[in-house]
Amino acid sequence: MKKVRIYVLAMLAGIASLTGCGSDNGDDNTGSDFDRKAMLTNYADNLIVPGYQRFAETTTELKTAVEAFAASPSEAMLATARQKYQQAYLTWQELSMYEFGPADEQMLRSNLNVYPTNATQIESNVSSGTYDLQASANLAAKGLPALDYLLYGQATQAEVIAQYTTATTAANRKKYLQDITNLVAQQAQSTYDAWTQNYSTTFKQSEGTAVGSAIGNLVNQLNSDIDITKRYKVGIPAGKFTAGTARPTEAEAYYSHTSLELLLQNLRAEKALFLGMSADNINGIGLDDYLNHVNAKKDAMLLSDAIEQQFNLAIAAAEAINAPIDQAVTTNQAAVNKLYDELQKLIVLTKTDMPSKLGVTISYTDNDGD
Amino acid sequence: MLNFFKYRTFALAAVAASVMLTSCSEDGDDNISYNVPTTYNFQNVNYSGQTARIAMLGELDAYIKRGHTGEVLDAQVMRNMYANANAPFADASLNTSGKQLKDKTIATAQTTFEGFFDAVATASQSAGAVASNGTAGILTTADNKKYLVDANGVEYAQVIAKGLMGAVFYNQAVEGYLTDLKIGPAVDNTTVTPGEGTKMEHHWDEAFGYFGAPIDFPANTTNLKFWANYSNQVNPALNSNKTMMDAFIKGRAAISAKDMAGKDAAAATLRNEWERLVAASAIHELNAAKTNIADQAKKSHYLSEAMGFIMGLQYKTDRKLNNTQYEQVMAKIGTNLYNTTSTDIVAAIDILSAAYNMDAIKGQL
Repeated sequence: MKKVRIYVLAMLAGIASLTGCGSDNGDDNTGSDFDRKAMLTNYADNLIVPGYQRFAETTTELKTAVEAFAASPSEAMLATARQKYQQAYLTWQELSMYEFGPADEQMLRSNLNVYPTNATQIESNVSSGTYDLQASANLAAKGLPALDYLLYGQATQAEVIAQYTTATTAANRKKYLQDITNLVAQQAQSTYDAWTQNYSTTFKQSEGTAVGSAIGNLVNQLNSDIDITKRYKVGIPAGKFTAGTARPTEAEAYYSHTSLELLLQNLRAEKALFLGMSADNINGIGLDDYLNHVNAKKDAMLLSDAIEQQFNLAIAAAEAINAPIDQAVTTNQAAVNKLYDELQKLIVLTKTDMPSKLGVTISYTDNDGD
Repeated sequence: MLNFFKYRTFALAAVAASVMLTSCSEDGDDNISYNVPTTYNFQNVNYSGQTARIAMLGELDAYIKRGHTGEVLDAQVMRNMYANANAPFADASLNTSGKQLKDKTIATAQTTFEGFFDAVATASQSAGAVASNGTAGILTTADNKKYLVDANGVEYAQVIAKGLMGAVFYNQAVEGYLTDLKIGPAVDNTTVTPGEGTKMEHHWDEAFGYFGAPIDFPANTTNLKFWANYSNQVNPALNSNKTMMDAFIKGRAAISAKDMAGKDAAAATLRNEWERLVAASAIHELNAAKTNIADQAKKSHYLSEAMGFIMGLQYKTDRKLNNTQYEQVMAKIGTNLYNTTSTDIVAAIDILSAAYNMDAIKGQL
């Protein structure tokens, strides 16, 4: 019956609607006359390279702080190490969406941020004192989540410090902490170096929107990152894959309970990527401008506005949680579910509508596939 | 043979056609007509991963049932089969399939099933001795069928097989493949991978694969696996064979014709009917336990099957049986199956049939 009404309306509106289809013409126009190089230059020079520079800096500061803590474990030194760790982790959240080129070669997502971290494996490595941090068995025993465990894994600061002072494995643990930290810093530096040495040029000169092009990579990895945000940061802890049974220990940064800050930083960075906005809030040429150039519409509004609005709704939903994800999934499920729903809506816009308007193929595969 | 599937509004759409040309609809949902075949016969269908997991559960089930003959079972063998580690299967193609049951088991239940492997291995240490209340061993039915049970009379072979039907096949379908996550608007339905179709088509096919039916089910009822087999058993009262199969076929045709409303309707039907199928299978086994209340071997056997099915009911987010009712049903069945009374079984049936609105058919399941 609903359909019948639609037809009647369509008949009544017949002539008027003749003029209402302008946006569809955009489908055939993927904006080959858009200044893609200017957009890519903005991404490289104002977002990505400065981002990796900050990451190299924050991880170097982390390395220094961890060395100082290992040299004389005290509450003050621990506090500094924790603070530097948090800065590094927040910076990573601004860069996880650029997993192509140098970051892909370094496999940063897998090497830096596999969670939940495997405490059993970490303890086994610490007590044996021998380990190969490049082995795949250790992917969940290194990176930022392992640091989260090593710096926050006990109920009190004093207990953490005891692990590095009076415990029989104290020397081994100090070494493990430093080995892991050094590896994070080294990979951050390598990625930054690769961008500044030649990848930046390659990226800016990349033409077209085909698979493997700079624009193809940007759109694919932005979506992959939003998928990860939705699934790992929110969905799994919220019990979306366990028929509603919450799994708090699966949350990011479970030991420091900083998951919400990390999530927010990540969402804001995903939005900034979409807008082409630098960390100094200078809004340069971005994917939103590209969409506007091809006059991409979503219903009555510009697709770029629809996406920006949906980012804002997701960020507002995240802010409303107001507690670490690992706690909120049991104490404030409704707020977490709301965020998940907003992210679902976001991914439809970014993964279906945006690529089709830009002529980009989504080629990355969800890692939960069959 | 093809049926021509029409929307009621088709004629109207034709009348309005010249006007409709000016509509701005991009996906053309409003006036789609397309053929819906009578069998699951489509281009680019591949659900080999599901077929492999069904075969894996078949081999795991067969191994555990060797305990019924007094063989001592090895928990590590079961764990290997569960995770497809160390080439555990007789069918060598399964060993190299890259598929496994464990990583597709709902995450909250993986350790539960591994605990069951340990429990049945422990029970099998009885090595063929007669079971009794408090002592693991073999129970023998009046017609000389033998079942390995633990000290509480639980036949883990059944709990594991029926439980994994829920925790893997059912859960993957109703929580994954038949939801927006896998067939929603963010999933590609344009790019065709030869042999697999679009991502959306492929995901739908994978849901069908977990049902375990031949493509011409229910006309053909040979070689039914797991859920299709149970659908066929409860079908006289539930009519699930046709409901499930029609929805699978309609939904697949809808996806290929870009009829997203038709796809969503078929998915909703499947999620609902599959849950009813799980509940009906549980009631079916509880009825059998009640009928055989005097034969402890059969009673243990059927109650264990029911326990496995009821476990499965937990693995859907929008389930009709809430957590409290779940605990109540399980409490009625009890942990010691020697002590379960016919009153308990009737009470368990009633909780399920009330939750699933099956009072009218509960006696016929």
